[in-house]
Amino acid sequence: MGEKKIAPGPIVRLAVIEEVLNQFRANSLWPMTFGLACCAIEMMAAGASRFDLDRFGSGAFRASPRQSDLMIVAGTISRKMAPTIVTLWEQMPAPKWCIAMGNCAISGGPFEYDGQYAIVPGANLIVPVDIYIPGCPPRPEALIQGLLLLQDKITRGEKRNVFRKFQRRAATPNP
Amino acid sequence: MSFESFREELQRQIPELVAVRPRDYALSGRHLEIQAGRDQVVAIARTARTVGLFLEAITAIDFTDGPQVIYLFNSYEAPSRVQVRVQLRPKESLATISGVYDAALWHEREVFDLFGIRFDNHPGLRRLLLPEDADFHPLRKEFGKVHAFRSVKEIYDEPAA
Repeated sequence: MGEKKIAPGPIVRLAVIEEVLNQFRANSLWPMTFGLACCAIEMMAAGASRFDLDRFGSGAFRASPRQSDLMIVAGTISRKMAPTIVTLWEQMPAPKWCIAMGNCAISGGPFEYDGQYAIVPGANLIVPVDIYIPGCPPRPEALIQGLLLLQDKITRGEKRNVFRKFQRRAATPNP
Repeated sequence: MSFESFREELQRQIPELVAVRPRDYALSGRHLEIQAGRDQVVAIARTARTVGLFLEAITAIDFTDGPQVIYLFNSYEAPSRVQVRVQLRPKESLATISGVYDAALWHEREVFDLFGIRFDNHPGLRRLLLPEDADFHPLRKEFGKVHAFRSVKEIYDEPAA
């Protein structure tokens, strides 16, 4: 008979703590002050007094990515802006979440066509996106619904989305 | 300075410039059209500067004969919009007028960016709007789906210079 086998396991069980932390995280989402196009106007309206994101704990728009844990990609991502967005995302401390707001941030919207050279068609091509809010632009109510869905997702402890990769034709000129 | 004085000054400075035609502003948006050679651009710009016109825009059109660069000068005293058209052969370069108008620096960078027309002696001919590593000039007619790639004669009913 050999030595007694001890089942490996954590010394401190963090699952319960994690659940409590997730409640905290979901109810104090701090978005980054960051808008790219007209969707940002609706985002500002959602943050202002009539729709009031403070009711959901996410009204504290932080001016620095290092203090925020939610990035709302609100607007068209131009090809030249994309590296900056990736930098901002990487500067945010984990755990962090991302909302793609509006058709442009979801799939390029009206600016995506065969052979276009100006925009990145979809925030999911450069950062992992958790919630997609369609609309052009979405109403503040839609943004609030997206935020509530994100809160549900966080409190359920879901894994964040990994990069969704799909094939698309390269934006090259015709020969 | 008035518009007529510009014509007189132009006649005095560059007498070999013949294609100076008044145009119907209501129809075409310009009062005076000048067809110039590629070596006359700087002299025209200098004349425009001396009579007090400002540079409104530099743009281009891509024709099968080669690109045509268009300069627009204007002043606040109507009638005053002057269009200078310079027909180039394909891959031909053009002298910069940034020595005369500083505003031309970015205008010429934009034209280079979108049409790939080079301006000689420009102090910093880099891309202005597109990413630095872009290897295409999107407003050329060969870019993307080719349509409406015509010759000068088809559009203006006049031969290329």
